[in-house]
Order: sequence, then structure tokens, then C-alpha cells
Amino acid sequence: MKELVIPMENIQEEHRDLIGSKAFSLHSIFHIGFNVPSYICITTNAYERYLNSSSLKGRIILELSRKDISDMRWEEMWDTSLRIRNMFLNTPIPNSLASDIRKYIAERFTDTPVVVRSSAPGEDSSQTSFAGLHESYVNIRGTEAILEHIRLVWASLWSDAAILYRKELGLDIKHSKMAVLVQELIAGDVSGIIFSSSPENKEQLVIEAIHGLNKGLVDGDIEPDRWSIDRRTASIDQYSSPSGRNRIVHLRDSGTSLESSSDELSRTVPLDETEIHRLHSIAMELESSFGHPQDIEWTKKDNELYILQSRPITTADDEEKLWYLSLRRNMNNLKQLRLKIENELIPEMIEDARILGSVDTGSMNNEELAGEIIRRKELYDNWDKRYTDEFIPFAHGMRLFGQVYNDMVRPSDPYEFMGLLSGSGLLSIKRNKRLGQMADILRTDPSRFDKIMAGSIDDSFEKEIDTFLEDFGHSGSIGNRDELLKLITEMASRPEKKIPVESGHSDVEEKFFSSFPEKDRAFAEELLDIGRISYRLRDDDNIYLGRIEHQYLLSLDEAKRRLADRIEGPEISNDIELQEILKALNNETYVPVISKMDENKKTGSDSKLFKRQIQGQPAGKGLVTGIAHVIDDNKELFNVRSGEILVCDAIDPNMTFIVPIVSGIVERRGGMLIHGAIIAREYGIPCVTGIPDATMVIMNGDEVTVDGYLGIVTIKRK
Amino acid sequence: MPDDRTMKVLRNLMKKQNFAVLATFHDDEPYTNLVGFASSDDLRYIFFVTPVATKKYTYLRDSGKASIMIDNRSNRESDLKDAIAVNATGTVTEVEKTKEFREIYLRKHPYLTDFLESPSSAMMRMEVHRYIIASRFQNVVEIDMR
Repeated sequence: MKELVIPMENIQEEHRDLIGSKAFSLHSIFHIGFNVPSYICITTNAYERYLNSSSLKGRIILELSRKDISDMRWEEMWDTSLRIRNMFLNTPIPNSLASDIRKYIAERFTDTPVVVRSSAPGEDSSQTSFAGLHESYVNIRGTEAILEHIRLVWASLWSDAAILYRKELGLDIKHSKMAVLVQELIAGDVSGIIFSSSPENKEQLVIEAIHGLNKGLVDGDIEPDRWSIDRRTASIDQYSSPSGRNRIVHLRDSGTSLESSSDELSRTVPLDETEIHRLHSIAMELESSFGHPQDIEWTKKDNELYILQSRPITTADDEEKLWYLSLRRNMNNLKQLRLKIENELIPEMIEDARILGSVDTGSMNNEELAGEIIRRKELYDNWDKRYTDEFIPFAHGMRLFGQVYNDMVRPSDPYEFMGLLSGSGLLSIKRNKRLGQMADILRTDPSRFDKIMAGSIDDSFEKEIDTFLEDFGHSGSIGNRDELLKLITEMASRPEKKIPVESGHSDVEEKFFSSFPEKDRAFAEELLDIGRISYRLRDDDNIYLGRIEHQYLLSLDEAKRRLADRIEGPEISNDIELQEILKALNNETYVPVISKMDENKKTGSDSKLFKRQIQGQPAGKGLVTGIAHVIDDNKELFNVRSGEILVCDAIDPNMTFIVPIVSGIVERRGGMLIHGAIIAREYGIPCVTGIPDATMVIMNGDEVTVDGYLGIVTIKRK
Repeated sequence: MPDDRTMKVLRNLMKKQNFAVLATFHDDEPYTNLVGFASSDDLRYIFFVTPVATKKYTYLRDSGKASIMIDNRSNRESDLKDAIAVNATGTVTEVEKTKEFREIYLRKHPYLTDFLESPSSAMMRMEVHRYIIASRFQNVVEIDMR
């Protein structure tokens, strides 16, 4: 019979792959003679039995087969992870398996709080480290809660970061397994980590220590006291104290919280010299035993020292992984980021766009214009970088909310939480509403509509246009009166399309709040608030960024207009490099080089290969068939006709004014929480995202069916 | 009435195999697809699910005529002796996703729940007129189900 659970005393060498690296390392530490907390291992056999006895295995394979992982963006990976995690949350452990595990838990942990940790085979080796990618849960009490958290640790095998990291390492995603360590919680007085070889100086060893549980240090919430020690002589080379020891991890009835520490603790250095020497000698012994420098977690309770885990120090962390992990923000961090974005960054962006807008580039000479273009480009690039560094991480707010919502409510639809975020006053929706109102004016007054079509605009409507442009028009896409009029008349020529009023939001809200105990309601409210702001700003910040981009593009347009005389042939447009424009502005005789358009860029036009049906991400529910309108250039947006299917590379909020008139959306960029998907859901328009090369494989005039339920796009070419 | 042994072989195959080849036709051109299927206990009906924006759905809606091949080949020489291929012919119609039909389908394909429940997919049911069972290379038996 396959072993499902192995207590620490029964572990043998042959169990290594069944119990995973972390558990096997603890076994080795135990055999060397160090204290380790009592533990049992839920083997990979148990994980496989769980998968096989439910429909999970097939569902995970289907989810991962949707698209090659190497073609996924991180937002798509988050979606994949969210959906898989929700499958685990809604699939109970079968009774027979649960009974087997319960027996072992009851023998050891009936009244003892535990830590439930991941221990995936190959998780920690000298080449790979999944540190921080899989989940661990601290202070779990009671058999059923432990079983529940075993399931959550299994689910974390499919966390977005873990999927990304496996992709980076080329590990086998479809056959990944997870063992789980259920370990007695030692409520240490002092805890910390040791790097047996410092990453900065190989002659040194580093010890970090904090008061209380190690969680505060490992999660990065508490700054530790830090010692650099000579590996050979054990003498202290350097000591640095933290800026404060005012916080400590506190054990709650279940789980932990970060609290203020006592005055006495905040004045006390957590380790004395004897203890430091003791830790040094332990680290050297473990390094010698494992044959590789070690990253060790330890805790001390009532003068008894315990080793919680030891793993090889990996040599390198790639930048993408680090940036990705930096996106996982905690609540405090998100709250600070929100204040910064709302109070500093957005007002600064608005002001920068206003200042740029007040500069008249038309009155500048060519050299001055070249300088202005460079200034605007630098400003735009600077804001674009801040967007990546600060706005995108804040978008994690809605992801965090989504994950907590799913953990607490366990809905069958993993995107049910979106219902609570939408309708939160997106700037783009307000803009579209105003467009709708202007279209409505013309719709209800046919003679006025006819006059405008004939080129005669009355003063009152002229004023509407001006006000709109003042409020919303100075963005990357809308800025031209003629194009705006074309859009409004197109909208007016069709029946009005309103945003469907979603019902049942209050039910969903109630479901969310009632899933929390009374004492945690404030946290739930705070989280929902952050989720909503994050959702709204994710859209709005792009609009503000678009205004700055628009000013930059305007200066380029001015330059292109002046240089048009020097160019023979087709109209000078976006296909001219910036450097060429600047060179020509600074040299009156220079003729700028125009890049040649790639005439054969569309696949399918001259190929026998025809992609008839493509699978992407189901991003907006609904099923619709219509004629494709492919957007290669934002200016093309103004030629879209009502009822067409919008096919584009990526929708940003500056483009979403077109959404109310289209009947479906196909987007190359994937994800459920990207702008195209968000706005499509707001309008109830079928949307499929993550279609590779969408604008290449679909051609203008193709009949396209968008299945927003299953994420399938079908192309019919005449 | 077919003998018990033949029915047992048929029942066993229909139960064990998850996927089948569906053949439809349109404009005198045959067209085949792989589908996940399930059959009713009395073997009179075969169920499968398809997105509605597919050729097979359009073709079936137009004519309803189809055949389904279910086999247990292993892609080795031993198939010549051991493989059994069943051809079911009959009329295919779209049916409502009732509790009973959903249970039949999901019992065999629990991982296809989302696919089945999608409003953009259709549940199709073949009312089997005849099974043709080929075994041991060229032995062929027909079972009339009407």
C-alpha cells in the first residue's frame, strides 16, 4: 500500500521523493542530533490520490493546455493560478483519504497548534529555490483546520509565482507534485535565520534575529538585528541594530497578527554573544553535513534551540522573479501606495499634462521644437517607468481582494469578486457616458444629426464638443474634433447601448462580509476598499498617463507636419523614427528616412495555413458573431462601425471609448483583469483575450465568433 | 437479439473508452472530430458536447446524420487481434442539459463540467440505430437498436 502519511520517526532515505526536500532536510537535521519540532509528512502519494479521486487532475490539465505556459504573460498566469486555486478550494479531500490523515494528526496534534508548510520534491536544491513561492500557514489548530490548510498548501503548487518560476526553470508543470509538512508550532521567544556563507562576503556568516516568531522576519515585516561573523574564528566582524524593535508577531486564536512589542523587548538585543557562537557552530555543522552553504531558520524557546528548516543557498535570483514577487504586496504596503498614488502621483501627472498643454509648440522654431520633443519624451518615459514601479504593484490590490474573497466565500465562479469591484466610477466609463449623452442628443434630433453629417455644427453642440475635449479629450487617442464627431455620429446612428445594471451586488457583498467573524469585519471592509480603489485606478492611471503621451504625440505631429515637404511619396505618419525627426528638425537640408511598411505581415494572406479556431482566455461572458475590424493603429478606431468585432493588440483605457459600439472584443494581450476585459465586462460584451498574434491572424472583414464563455475565437474567411 | 457476450463486449468498451471519433458530413464532404462521449446504460443513446460555433455543430444541426467510432486500439501490431472498433450510426439532435443527461455525461467526464455548463456549448445526443462491432481484424457483427 502506498504511504500517505509518514511521521518523522519513520522517515527513511527512500522516502526523499515522497516527502519533498524540506521534510527530508528536517529528517537529516534530526538525525545529526539537533532539535526539530515534531512533524508528520503528508506524502506526494496523498496529493496524487486527492487529484485522482476527484476531477481535479483533468481540470488542471485542461487549464494548463489552454495555452503554452511559455506564451503566457504574468497576468494570464495569475488567472490560471486563480482558477486552479479555486478548484482546490471547492474540492474537499475524499473521506477515505481524510480519515487516513486525521488518524496521524490526532495522534500528535489534537491540542497543539501547528505550522502547515509546503515540501515539494525539488523545491529547495542548490540550483533551484522556491522560497516564498509556495504557501506556509502558521498557528493552525484542530484536525479539520489542518486538513483545510493541507489543501491550501497543495493549491499553492499552482500559485502564479510558482508557475512562473517553473516556466523559467523549465520544470515539468503538468507533473509537479506537492508533499506537506505538518509541524508543531514552537512559539519561540527569539527567532531568526542564518546564512552559513554571506552572499556579500564568503568569509563571513550572517545571523539575523527578532523577538518572537520567525514569520515577521521571513515575511519581511520586521527588521532584524544583524551580525556578520567570521566563519573561521567565530568573531563578530560587524553588528547592525534595526531602526526599531517595536513590532512582534502575535499568535491569535488562529493565524498570526503583527502587533506592537513591549518597551522592554524593544530595548533588548535578541541574542547575546554566547548564543551567537552557538548558532555559528550549528550553522557550520549543518553546512558540513549537507556539503553546501545553508540558509537556516531557527527559533529559541525557554533556552531550547530548534532548527525549523535548512536549505542550500541558491546562487542567483533572476530579476523577473524578484520583480514578480515584489508585486505581492501586503495590506499596509498597499495602503501606503494608495496614498502616494492618490495624493502625489496622480495630481503630479495631471499638472504635468496641464503644463505641457499650455506650451504652444506651433510658435517654436525647429530647434526649439526638437528640444521640446525630447523634454516631452523624457517626461513620458519617466511616468511610464513610475507606472511600472508603483501603479502596477498597486493593481495587486484587486488581486489580493480576489484571492481573499475566493478563500473565504469559495464561489463556483472564481471571478465572482469582480462584481464587487465593477461600477466603481471608472473615468473611462464616465467619459463613455458623456459620449453616449452627446450621441443621444443627435439620436433624438434627426434634423440636427443630418446637419452635422453635412458639416454644419450649431453653437450649442460645438460647446458640448469643446467641454468634452476639455474634460476627456486630451488623451493619447481622442484629441481630434473631426474624429470625435465621426465617433459620435456613428454612435448616434445606432440604438443606444447602456451599461447593464448588474443586480445582486449587495448579495455578493453580504456573502463576503458574512464569511468573516465579527472581529475581522473592519479588515474585510478595508480590503474591499483597497480592491475597489485598485480596480478604479488601474483604469484611471492609464488615462492620465495617456494625457502626457498625447502631449508628446502632439509635438511629434507638429514636427511631422513641418517635415512633410521634405518627404516624397506617402503621407508621413508613425513609421518614422524619433531620431530621424530630431535630425531633420536640427538640419534644414536633411531628408528623414521613412521605415518601410511590412506588406506581408499578415499571415494567412498568402499562406495555405489558416487558423480557424483559437483558444485564449474567456474574459467577458457572452457569444457573438460579427465582422472583424482589426486595429493596427489607434487612428483606425474612428473607422470602427457599430456591431463590429474589435480585434486589437491591447486595449488601454484611452481606447475604450470605442467599446460601447462594438459587439465583441478579441485581444492579443491576455488576462481577466486587464483593461479590455474590465471594460468588456462593464458593458456585458463578449471578450476573449490572450489570442496570440490576434491582429495578424484575423483580417478585416473576417466573420468572427467570440465565445467569451469558453475563450474560443472562430474565424470564417470568405 | 444479440448474444450476451457481444453485448458485454460492447458495454465494456462503451464504458471504458472516453473519446470517440464523430463523423458528420456537409456538401458531400465527410468531416471527423474527436469528442468526449458517454452513453446511456441501455446503450440506446450516446451523448457528447460541442461549442455551438463549430462546424460539427452546424453540420449536425443541418442534417442530424452522423456516425461515431469507438475503439480500444493501442497502436501496436497486437491490435490486429485484440482491437475492437464499434461504429454507431443514428440521428443526432441537440438536447436540453437536463439533470439526468448531465449526470450521465459528467459521471464519465467530471473535468468537463465548465465546458458542459457553458451557455455556448450544446449537448448532443445520438439515438443509436445500429452498432457495428468489428473484432479480430475482420469479424463484424451488427446490432439493431430499434
